[in-house]
Amino acid sequence: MLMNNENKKKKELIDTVLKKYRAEMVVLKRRHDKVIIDFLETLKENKIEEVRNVLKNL
Amino acid sequence: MKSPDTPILSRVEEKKITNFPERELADISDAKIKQYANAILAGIDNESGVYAATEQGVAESAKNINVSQEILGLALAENGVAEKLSEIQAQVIGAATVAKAAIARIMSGVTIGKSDNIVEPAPALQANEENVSDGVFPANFEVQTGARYRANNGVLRTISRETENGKDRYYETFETGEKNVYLNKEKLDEMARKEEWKIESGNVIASGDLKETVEPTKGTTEKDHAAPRWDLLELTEALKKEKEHGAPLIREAQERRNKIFEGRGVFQMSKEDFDQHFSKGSFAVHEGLKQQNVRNCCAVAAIHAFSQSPSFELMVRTSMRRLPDGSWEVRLPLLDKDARVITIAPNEIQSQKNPGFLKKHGGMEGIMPDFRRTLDPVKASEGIRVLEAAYIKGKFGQVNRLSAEFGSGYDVLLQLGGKENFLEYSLKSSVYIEKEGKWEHPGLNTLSESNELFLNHFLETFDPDVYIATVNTKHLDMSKLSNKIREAFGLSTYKGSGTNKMFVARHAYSLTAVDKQTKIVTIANPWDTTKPITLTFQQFKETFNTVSAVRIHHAKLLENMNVIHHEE
Repeated sequence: MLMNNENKKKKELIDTVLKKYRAEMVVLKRRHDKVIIDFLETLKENKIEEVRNVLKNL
Repeated sequence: MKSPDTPILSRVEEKKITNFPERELADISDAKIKQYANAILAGIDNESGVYAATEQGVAESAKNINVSQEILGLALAENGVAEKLSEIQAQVIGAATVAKAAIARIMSGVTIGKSDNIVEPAPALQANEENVSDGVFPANFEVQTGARYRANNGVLRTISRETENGKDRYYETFETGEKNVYLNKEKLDEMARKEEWKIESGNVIASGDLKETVEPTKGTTEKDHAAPRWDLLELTEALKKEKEHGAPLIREAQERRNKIFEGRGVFQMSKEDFDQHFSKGSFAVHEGLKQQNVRNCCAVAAIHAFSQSPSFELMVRTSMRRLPDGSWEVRLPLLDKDARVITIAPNEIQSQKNPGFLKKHGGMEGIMPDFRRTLDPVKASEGIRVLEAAYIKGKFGQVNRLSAEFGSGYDVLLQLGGKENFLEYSLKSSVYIEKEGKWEHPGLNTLSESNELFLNHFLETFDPDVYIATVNTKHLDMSKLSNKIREAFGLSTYKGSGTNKMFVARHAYSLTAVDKQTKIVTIANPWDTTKPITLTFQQFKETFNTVSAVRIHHAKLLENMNVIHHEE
């Protein structure tokens, strides 16, 4: 029984870690997406010429 | 361009971190807690891996918003973007490392105690955690039927409602075709709020109040950390147009990309060799395929559809080469890290004696003997014939064309491109009639509401950059003797619904283009792919029974490109 309690506690601690990790990831994923979305917005604004310049410098 | 780490890239398969069933908490054994910790660790690895690789992240985004990876790839080269992504990657790796270390400490028993400060997120993140978990997503969010939603874990599903025995049931159908049923709407809404579903497409905008609920909540987060709650429909539409306008640019980008890969020494076949062996005269590769007397319409249609894909050249040139003696070395699946080498000798792409000559065997319904003395390869360029032979040899051990008759388009594609690079995407309207103990194969117009939504989405967003597709016609009604005889004599053609065009029953065609504006589908008969056939969406749905396609996993392609590069 004692062993079970210890494992239960481990599980709770892991969940705490996971919750915090997930919260960080939500923010990071959104930042990540935002960087890409901003670029897409640039495309949306018809800045093809800029992209072409980028291509030339690749 | 910063090259991502191979160890991270090798485990980017997205897996859900499974929750431990609460009922098992009462009796939690050592084995179970270990299993749980391992599942969490693997989940963290997989999830953080996706965001820790720059190319991977970009390709993932391309997959989600249906824009070519080349255009997105350029973002990396643009000043500032690569740096921003690298910074985020570093943080992702940091968060994953801290969490994994903490779990390892917990499991070793070191950290159990009140004073143990496990992991506290940085203050800026803590502030954001509150904003993103409770403050932004609307508490009154309700799911609408007929719409497609993407959850914050990236999973896409369509919602439908069906009434059974007077009771409403709600279904969520995933891209893979898997279904979940909800007996009450509240549970579904609760799940949607928990996973912060965002609308991708559907009829809900017209229904009024939902629009307000998915509208971004502004001013609640710092500008830099603000959640990107753009209007996805609008953006997708703009990107589609952009893609059309930018077609020459995309081609230019593809050529540049190929040059970069050329520089890395990834290709086995030169551009000149590719042009020589995969073109027929002055025609492009895809224009000259003609299925001969082997009943492998699925394979020919699949190879034709594949040859239309912008990824075709890349995959072929990395994995096939012609040796000086005229034989070929083909690594199958193409551009796959676990590929095996298949050698095709010159005689294996020629006509062969038919082992089933004058025998009665499958396919002719057992009525007629097989009168074919020889079995002939597809009439096409040498490279295409090699690809056909390699598919047969890869699957059946030798180039025996008789054994390779029939089959399905996606299976051929999976053999050629592998289950990593290609993901199966198929839809069928066949139904089993239990009373009569037989299958019926009506048109796609008989699909259920939710499956029809999938089909419409597939047609409306069809992009050869993303999909490689074959489609199969309906079967003749074989309960009629006249049809049995027609089929036995190979006269199984019928007039398409709402058109005078003739189609062959139980036959595979390649789907090569969809015009979203005019709602016209372009297909080709593998008997002669130089004559494209056009149909309206409705005619198509009434004439065809199956979509047998694959979705290209661009992220995997890039990853495998990276692995090959490392090996070289």
